[in-house]
Amino acid sequence: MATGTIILNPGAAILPDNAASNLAPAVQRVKSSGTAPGVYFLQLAFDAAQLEWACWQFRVPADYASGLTLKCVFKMTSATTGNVILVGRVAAFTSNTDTTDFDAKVFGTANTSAATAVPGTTAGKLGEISITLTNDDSLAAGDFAVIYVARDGASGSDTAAGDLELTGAAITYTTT
Amino acid sequence: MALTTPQRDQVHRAFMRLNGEPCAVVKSVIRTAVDDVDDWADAAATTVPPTSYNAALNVTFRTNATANQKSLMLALVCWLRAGRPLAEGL
Repeated sequence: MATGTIILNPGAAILPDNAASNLAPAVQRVKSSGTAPGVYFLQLAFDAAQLEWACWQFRVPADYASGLTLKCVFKMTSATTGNVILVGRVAAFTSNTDTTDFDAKVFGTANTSAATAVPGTTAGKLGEISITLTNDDSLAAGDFAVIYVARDGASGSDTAAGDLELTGAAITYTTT
Repeated sequence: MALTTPQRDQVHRAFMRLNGEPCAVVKSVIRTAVDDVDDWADAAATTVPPTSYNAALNVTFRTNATANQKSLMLALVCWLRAGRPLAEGL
């Protein structure tokens, strides 16, 4: 047994269409203010006042066994105090076995992080939130999966002002 | 005329979008500051207000917000009171 990782790059995110309950974060290319050549990177900016989400699709590796966990690396645009709430959801489909129409697929039950303090003192400092995806939609090795990541800015427990900037995410799991 | 509650919510969201400086207060404090500023602007529009702008702000916002952030808050409230649009919907 070891730990496997699937990278969820902001540049590979699939954004919803901004219809009701389908609000998307902004994709931003950032240039650091450091001495040239500045570091460039992509980030997803999640609003403070509403729930916005993005998703990633992949085939689940053959060595997947259990322990599905979502790791989100983030910083805040301006907040140096307060808490944020992130949500992870899973949609899994077993090819040649599941009989439902994938075009009508829905995500499984939400996995919600604890209200987590922002990195603090310095806006722009990176922090990480880990969410155990207990509700994994019966994900198994070889499945086709879509992972949903949201900031629930509308939650009363999400108190930090301004955007949350997701700079990277990953799925980790225990291998066979 | 004072802003409506949805308009005050609109200012709240606009402030968080436009503020580019470190923000040491949480969302609820900013939202209360919107109320403070609009109430103060309402009083100041018709009579000499009994308190200064700074004194009208809730103490958490007053002691943590920068001068730029206090100016931004006043500007956004006045912008909407003047009937101008904001990108944030109602």
